[in-house]
Formats: sequence, C-alpha cells, structure tokens
Amino acid sequence: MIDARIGAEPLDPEAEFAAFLRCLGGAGAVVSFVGLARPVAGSGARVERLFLDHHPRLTLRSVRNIAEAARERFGAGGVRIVHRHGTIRAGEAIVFVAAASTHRRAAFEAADFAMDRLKTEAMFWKREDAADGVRWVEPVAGDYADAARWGP
Amino acid sequence: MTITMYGKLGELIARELAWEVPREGISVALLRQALADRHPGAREDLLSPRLRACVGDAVVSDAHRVADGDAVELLPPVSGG
Repeated sequence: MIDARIGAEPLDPEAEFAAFLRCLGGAGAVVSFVGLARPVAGSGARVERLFLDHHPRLTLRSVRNIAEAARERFGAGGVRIVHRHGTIRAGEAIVFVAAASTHRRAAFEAADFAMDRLKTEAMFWKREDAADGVRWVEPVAGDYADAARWGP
Repeated sequence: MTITMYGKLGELIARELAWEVPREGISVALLRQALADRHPGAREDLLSPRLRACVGDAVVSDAHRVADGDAVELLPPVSGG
C-alpha cells in the first residue's frame, strides 16, 4: 500500500500516523519519521518561515516514485509519505514518512531510504527566510553522501 | 516559446517568460547562455551543471533543440525533506 501526497495545508503527523496504523494488514513493525521546520538557521539566525516551491506535476510524481522505490526495495507492506509545500512556520511539520513491514529492519530501512531520497530527489525548492536574510537551500555534501549509501 | 522557472530562478527572473527563438530553433545550452546574457544576476544559476531543463515533463540534455511553440522548464537543484 502506497500513499504519497503533497499539499499546502498544515500537516498533522499524529493523524497521519493513526490513519496509517488503521490501514495495515498483517504488519509486525511500523517506523515513522517527522521532519520539522527548524527555528534556527545554520548561521544561528532565527528562521521566520520556510517557503517550498513545487512543480504542478513532477513534484508529486517524484514523491510517489520514492515511496514506491522504498516499498519495492525493502519489501515493505506499506509506505506513506506526506510532504508540504508553500509557507511553513518554524516548528511546523514539513514531511511525514511511515513504513510498515513484517519485521522491523525493513521498516527502519524503508523510512531511512525514503528520507535520504526526499532530501536530494523530491522536486521541491526550499527558501529559508531568516532574520539575517533569505537564502535558497540546496542539499549539502552530507545529504548526497547519505543518498549514495543506497546505491543507484 | 515559454520558459517556466522554479525556485531561486523563478524568483530572480520570472515564473514564466515569453522568449523569442530563431525559426530553426536553438539548443538548450545556447538558450541558457542567452538567458544568462539577459539576466546577469542569475548567470551562475543558469549555467550551473546542476540545472536541469525539461520539455513535456521529461529532462532533456543541453544538446536538445527547442523551437518556437515549445514550453521549456528550468529546474534548479531540488531540496526536499
């Protein structure tokens, strides 16, 4: 079961997790991850908001591809990814990822893999509006290295 | 043709731009160069090897030729999560 969604509305991780748990059939393990907008930029300045630009078709396609790859690669019974775009205030959830499988290792790995791919391949463009200025964020070397751990 | 730009490029130049091209068309590489000449503030981003060009929702190479009537999209490096 794959559920991949994007939206500008607020993301409720607890409701997503509860809904994911309700639709599992026979899973023995569930792992979830929530990404939050950090209140402090790398420079130390306060972050007022993030803005995530997106493509009208390719963004959802990229998120769905990542969810499907996570399910197939690890044999996960279910993967859910919900990703926000638009304006996101510090402290709010940006992304929710959950993976379910028969045994725990596949669920951990599917969620880890999905997040690494989301950082480098999901088609969003992220702008950080901080007290010391505005900057467009690109993946750092560590993000690419994390994604490369899983191979092509 | 129309050129649609996302992320930083969309903010630096415009979300959508009408652009005149020669009748015989132009390569994506030359289109990027022409845009960079017109918009020097976005030069580095337009000429970055990490910029991707799309036509019809598919990534195309720098050698791909585009012509009047095409809709080209320029995608800077992405950053999700």
